[in-house]
Amino acid sequence: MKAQKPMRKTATGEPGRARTSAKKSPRAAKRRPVRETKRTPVDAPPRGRQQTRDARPQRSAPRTTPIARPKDVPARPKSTSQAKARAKARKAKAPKVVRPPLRQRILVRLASIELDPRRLIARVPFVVLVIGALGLGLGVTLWLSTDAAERSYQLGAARQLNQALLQQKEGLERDVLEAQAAPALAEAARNLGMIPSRDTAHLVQDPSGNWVVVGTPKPAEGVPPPPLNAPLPEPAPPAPPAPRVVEPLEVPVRLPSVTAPQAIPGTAPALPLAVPGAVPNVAVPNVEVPHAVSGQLPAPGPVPVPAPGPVPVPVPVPGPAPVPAAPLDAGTSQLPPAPAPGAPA
Amino acid sequence: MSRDKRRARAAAPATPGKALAKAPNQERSARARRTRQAAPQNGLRSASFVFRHRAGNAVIFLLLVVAAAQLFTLQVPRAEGLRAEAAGQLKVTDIDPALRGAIVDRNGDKLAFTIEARALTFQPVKVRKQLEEAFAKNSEVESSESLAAPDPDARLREIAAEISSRLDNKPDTATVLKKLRSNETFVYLARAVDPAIAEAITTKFPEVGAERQDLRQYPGGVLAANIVGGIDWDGHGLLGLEDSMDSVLAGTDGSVTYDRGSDGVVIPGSYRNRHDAVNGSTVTLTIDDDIQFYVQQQVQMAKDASGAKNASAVVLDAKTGEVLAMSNDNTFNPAQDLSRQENRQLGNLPVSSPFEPGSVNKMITAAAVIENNLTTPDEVLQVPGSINMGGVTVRDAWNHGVMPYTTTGVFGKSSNVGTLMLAQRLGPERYAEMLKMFGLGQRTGVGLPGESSGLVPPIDQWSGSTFSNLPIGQGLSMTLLQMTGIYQTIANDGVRVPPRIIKDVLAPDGTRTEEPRPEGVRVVSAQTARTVRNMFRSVVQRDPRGIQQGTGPQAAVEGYQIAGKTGTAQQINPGCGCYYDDVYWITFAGMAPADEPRYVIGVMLDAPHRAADGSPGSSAAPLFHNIASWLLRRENVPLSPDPGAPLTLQAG
Repeated sequence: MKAQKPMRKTATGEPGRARTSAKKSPRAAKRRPVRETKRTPVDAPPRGRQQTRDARPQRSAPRTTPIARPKDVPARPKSTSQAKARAKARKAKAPKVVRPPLRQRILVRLASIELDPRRLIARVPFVVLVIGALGLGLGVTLWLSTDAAERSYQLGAARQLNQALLQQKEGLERDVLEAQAAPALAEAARNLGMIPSRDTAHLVQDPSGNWVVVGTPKPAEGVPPPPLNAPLPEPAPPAPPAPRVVEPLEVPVRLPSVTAPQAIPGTAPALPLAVPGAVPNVAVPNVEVPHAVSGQLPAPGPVPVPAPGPVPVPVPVPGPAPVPAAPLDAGTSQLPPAPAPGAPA
Repeated sequence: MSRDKRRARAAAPATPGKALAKAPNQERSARARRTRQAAPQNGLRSASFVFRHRAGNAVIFLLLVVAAAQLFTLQVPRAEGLRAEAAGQLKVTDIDPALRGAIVDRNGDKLAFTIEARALTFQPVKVRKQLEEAFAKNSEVESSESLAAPDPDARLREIAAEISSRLDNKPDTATVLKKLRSNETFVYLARAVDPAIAEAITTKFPEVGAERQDLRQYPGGVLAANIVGGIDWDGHGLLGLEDSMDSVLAGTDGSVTYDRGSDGVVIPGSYRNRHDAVNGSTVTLTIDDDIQFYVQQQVQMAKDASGAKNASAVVLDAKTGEVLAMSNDNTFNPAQDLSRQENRQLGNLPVSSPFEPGSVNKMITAAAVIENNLTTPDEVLQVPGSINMGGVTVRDAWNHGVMPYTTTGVFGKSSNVGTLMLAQRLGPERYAEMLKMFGLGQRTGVGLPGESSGLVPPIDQWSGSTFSNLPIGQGLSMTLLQMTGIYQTIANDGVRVPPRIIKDVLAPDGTRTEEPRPEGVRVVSAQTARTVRNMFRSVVQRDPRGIQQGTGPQAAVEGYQIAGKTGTAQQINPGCGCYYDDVYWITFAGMAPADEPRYVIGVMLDAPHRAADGSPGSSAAPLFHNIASWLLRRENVPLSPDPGAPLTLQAG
């Protein structure tokens, strides 16, 4: 194989060079010696053949047929002896490979190592750049994905925390809503012993600057109303029914005289009227009127303010002007006096 | 081989020299070379091989044909069905439940809302098997005794104890343990568990699963439960607005479809048909939860104090007809199990149960006669003790001779005779027309389910006595809401605005849809309404001598002018088909303040034994008073400038 290498080179390279030399002769002439010297004898072309190839037939017209591939083998030897002779000749002709000693080779090698970084860089092939870029990219990708994975754990933890907090918030909101719902507030007030005030009095200033008490100031009394949300009985003990939340605010005063069924407005029509004259002397216009309480409608008595300027303090009204004696528990006196039996007219 | 030979023979003449030269080296003679030997019978050409070959070919061909035919049937005619079957085995559709919308009052306070909760699940058979296997394996190893895999039974006991302790012993340990040891494949250990608690349990015991389950919260309990209603166990409305507005509240569940292999692993990229859940809308009501609470409390107390069978009350805004509160007693509590409500009232009586209103209905007669200028408030009528009209004799509730009552007095003292005298001036046709104008016999369309239209006999079916009953409020029925609507008409200067309870609907995307407001109906003129309001102040007028006193002075609120009307209607005795003598519907309806009405309140007691405040007699006026007094104070309604001129009820 080694022997053939120079042959090949000549086969492919020589014709080209021959042609260039033919065209650009001045430069070629100048350079050739240089190359010649640079080239080791290994490259020495077989001169004879070059000559034969250069000898082209002279023609008037440009050549149109394809240039035949140059034959690098001479014609087939006619006989064994000829072949042997040729082989011999080739062997003799073949340049001798001179191999410098190892030491020298190493020295040359070392001497040829360039340390100038610019040169060095200039000599770095493009591939290295590409590989470097790829490597760098791979590294960055690795780093990024590691980072992303790390953060995804953080994100997951944060999500979980968020979810838990949301649930907690929902639960707390529910507790707040339950606590601020009207029945719960009422229950809390009840536990504090608070009772609702019924009819409050108002203190208003009339145009002339006098302070007028409208209504009857009185302390709230009674018991707190029963809770609205009576819990249902537990299902497990089905026997005892839920305790009824009957807790009447005021104990009704039952008077024996009222027990008789009384005619009531609106009952008359379409009624067989079984009791036409059963209660002849009950001339009460209505059962709903039994409060024989004095006092004009809302009893706003202009309170004559003592002396200088309006006193903003609502003095416990000493008694409104038109006092017809009776205790002024007007509006909703809870305890009805006896139903006036023969009241009107 | 034979070919080579032949070629060798053919080549032989071309190189005779060589052949000759080689000839001596040939082992076989020319004869032998020239004689072709018969092929041996046991080779590829043997008869048996050919047969087997052919038979084999035939079998293979047959199999191929069968396979091709099967392929064809599978791929062409049966393809559809098989594909569907395969999809059915692979396809899984997950439901993403929508969050049910809330119901809030006019101030945005939540009356009903949904929070997420968990149901604790367990697979007794499977988990027990796993535990036993783990235990068996662990006891073989012996060495790592301390590590995990406890005795299965001990583990179950541990789970049961933990669950019941964390849930306040709501399912107690024994119940849970029984479920854990049961032979079901799947059980619910507890429902409606707080998510945080469920999370704690499932992290401690991975054997226990948690399933999403939405929990409906009613923070007010019975508050407005008659309006809001309740839901059933699967989250759909069962009662009240929860039922009638279910389509709005429920929202639309989302879903996603994907394929799953036999091992339960999702096939990547198979997610499809993804629909996001659309949460339910929030429904805003016109009621105010504070007013509702107070009214509900007062109604309950009035019911208990009066010994009535039931009691109800309605509060309307005078101008807009919005329902501010609506209550009946003994309301159920939707926050608790619906099946354990026993005798609690699950309905909404103020809209669902009509009754005969009694004298409250005289308002219509009064408005009609004033509107038609048939009388003036001060006209003095000589009212006898009874009147015969259409064949029946109608008396007043108290016996009297001929009395000089003014028109105001007729209504203030609730004289049946006087009212009928005025109604006679009006005539049945105009009266029937007026009943219709006031919205009686028709549903108000308030927006609540189960609304009754009441019953007003059509005029062509009136008998002789009908017109002697209707003006005084017997012989027709109306719901409490309709009854209050009559007074709203007068309070709103003669324009009846049908009541509404749904204010708006807030969609999950933030769009607010106002409920359409009904057009007001002009029933009487504003002047008539003012006159009638003034006349009906006489009902609550108090007179120490009793002469100029109305029938419901307990309804008065000091500092405010109040107009209203008491009512007492006899109930029908189904036993004899006649009216009871001693069982009444006691009603009251009125407006506060009368000079510039803000609120209209209607109350009804069914068959009370005492008055609404527990005092003897029978009057719903104290209940009206309590509600009106509280309402005016709470809303800081300015006092009436003057108590109003004293009215003359009885002339002379």
